[in-house]
Amino acid sequence: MRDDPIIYEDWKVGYSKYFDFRKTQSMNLIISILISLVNLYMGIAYKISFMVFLWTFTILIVIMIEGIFDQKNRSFIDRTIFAFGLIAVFFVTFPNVDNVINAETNPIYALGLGLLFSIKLALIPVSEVTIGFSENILVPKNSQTEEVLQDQIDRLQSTNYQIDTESEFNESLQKLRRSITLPFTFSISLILILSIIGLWASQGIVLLRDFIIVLVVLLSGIALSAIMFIDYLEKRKLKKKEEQEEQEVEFYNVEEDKLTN
Amino acid sequence: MKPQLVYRGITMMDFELNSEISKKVNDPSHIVISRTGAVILILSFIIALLGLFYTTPIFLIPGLTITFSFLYFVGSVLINEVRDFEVEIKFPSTQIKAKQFLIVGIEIITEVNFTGMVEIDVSDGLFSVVNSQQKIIDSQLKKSTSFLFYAPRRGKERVRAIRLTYGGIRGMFYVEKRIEINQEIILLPQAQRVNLPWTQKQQILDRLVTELTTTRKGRGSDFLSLRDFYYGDEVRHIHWKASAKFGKLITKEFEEPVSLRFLIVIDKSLFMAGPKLEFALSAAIELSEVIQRSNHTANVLVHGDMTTRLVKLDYSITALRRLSLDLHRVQSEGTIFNYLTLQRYILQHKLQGAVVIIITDMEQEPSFISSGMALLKPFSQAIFFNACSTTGFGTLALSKTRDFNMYNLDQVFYRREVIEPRVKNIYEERAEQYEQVATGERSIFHLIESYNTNILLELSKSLRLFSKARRR
Repeated sequence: MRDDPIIYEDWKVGYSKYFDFRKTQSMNLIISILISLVNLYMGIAYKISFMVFLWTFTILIVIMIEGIFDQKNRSFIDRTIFAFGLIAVFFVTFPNVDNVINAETNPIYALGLGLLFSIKLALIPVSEVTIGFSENILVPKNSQTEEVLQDQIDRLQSTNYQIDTESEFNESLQKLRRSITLPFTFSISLILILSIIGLWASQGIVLLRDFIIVLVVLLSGIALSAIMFIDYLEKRKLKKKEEQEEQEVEFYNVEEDKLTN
Repeated sequence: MKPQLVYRGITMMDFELNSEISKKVNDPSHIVISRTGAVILILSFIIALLGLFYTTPIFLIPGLTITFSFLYFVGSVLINEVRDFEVEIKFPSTQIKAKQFLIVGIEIITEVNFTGMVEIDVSDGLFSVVNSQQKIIDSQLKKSTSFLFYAPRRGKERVRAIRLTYGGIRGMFYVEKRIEINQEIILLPQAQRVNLPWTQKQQILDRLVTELTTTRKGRGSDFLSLRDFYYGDEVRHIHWKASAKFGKLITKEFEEPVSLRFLIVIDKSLFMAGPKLEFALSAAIELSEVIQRSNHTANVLVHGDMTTRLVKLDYSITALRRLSLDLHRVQSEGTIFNYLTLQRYILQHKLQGAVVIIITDMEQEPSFISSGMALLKPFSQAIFFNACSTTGFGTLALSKTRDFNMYNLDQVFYRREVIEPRVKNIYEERAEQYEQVATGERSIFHLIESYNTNILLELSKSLRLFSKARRR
């Protein structure tokens, strides 16, 4: 009897098929598990020390918390728990440094763990973005609705309002991925070179490395504060403008009331 | 060329005022550091400095990764500068029927090398289909993209703004360009769910007219009968074949063309809110479209408790457009459908003698309807009383709600087996009472069972009953 398939009951709510946010989340989890496995292996190989035990314990807690928050559609705070965990563990283990010298000083262990941690840190903003991408969209429930939607898209293709084809989309997606990974690969490769030089070279180069690191942190700190200050100034300007407009509107409203009375 | 989008015989453009709206905008772009980005950056500074202090790579590497990439971003922005570009936003139509698609096109006009995200901010009544509200745009591959939205709700929607982001790490620090559009989208009443072919629509209307009127001889074009030729009759109407057969002059007789006045009355009381009102509005447009193209006249009256809106249809091309534009902002108000004020309004505006088609619901007392019929009958040629079934339209809270408390089986049983049948019985009884009250000499009651129908089909059903009633 029904001729028009475009009604609300014909659609179901789905996620955007291009951005699967579950992928990045599972990647995050896999890295956490990898870190703890490396830790355990190192602990067994170098006799289980207090340091290794604590690292593993913290990472397990982080995994657990992430799992809990994922069910409730997470906030960015729970992702930064990991970073706080790092600092906390360091302060706890600081008095016991002599006991754990065996495992700590192994350069491959330290480098590998550091690298994994950095990837995990970098995944925080990436997963934040992919969750934004995978918004709710309406997906046709039955074949009839799908046909009508395809009809609409085909008609669009003949005009200058075109929906992207699959290949075009994939190509631009690759470009976007490159643009996201470029800063990370740049910095990680730079750090690796620096640390490898520092680990195997004489004291003079270590001093140079330290100097570079301090310079980098200082520079980026200055840039961050400058950008945030400009942002703050702009926001204040906008607020003032809005307030002025509101006052003007109120003024006009009062005028109108007087006229009507 | 103007893009014409045709959807299943209904043209999307036929209510168009301005065929295409496009805006060219050039707002400056600026660097943004999000809350997440700021927190992570500061944390990474602390971690990096700690790692330097105690010389452990476990802290140095994660601490420096974000710091280095931030410096890389700042450097790239300083070297390349924030290039500004012009963006064009296009709407093929800003007035569409409800339950159809809205298209928004975005195009980068200036020559730039740009790969970034486009995000569109729309009001709650627009739902994205095919792609999400965020999209990648790459100036080297293709300079334009478009968004497709499904708009199910009648009224007004708004496309608020467009946000373009590029460079840096998305979610932390990036360059942003926000464009305020604030384009209003008008969503006209939806089309009827069942689309009839045009000839069938006309047939139904013709049948309706023949049922309501008696044929009279006159100067029409439709053939009625043959009779003997008398002196003074027009010579050109002589039927020569019949004359030759009977051996005397025989002439043709024609029908007098009738033009009826239709008055479509829509109840906009609060009980009608929801699918019933949507059906009534779309039915009014469907009916007036058919009537307007014949030699009859139609007026649409949206009657509520407090206010009444009358739309007079003339034969101009824009009449239907004006009608649907007028009906797109109708909202239900008041508690009852007041027949007394309706009668007064009909008398004031000289609408008496029309064929009244009322579209209302079954929430009022039958006694109220009988008095209403008595008020309207003297001033109308015929009354078609169409009532939307409360249970059929799913507006009854009981019939559609999910059982949240699934474990309490007694409650579920009580609702399904006791309450629902009882309510259905009440409405069935009421429908019978309505029929007794509203069906009479020049009036007929008809129950519209659900919204998967066309008002003309419903009219033809009630017409069958009407002719039976007349024969009795």
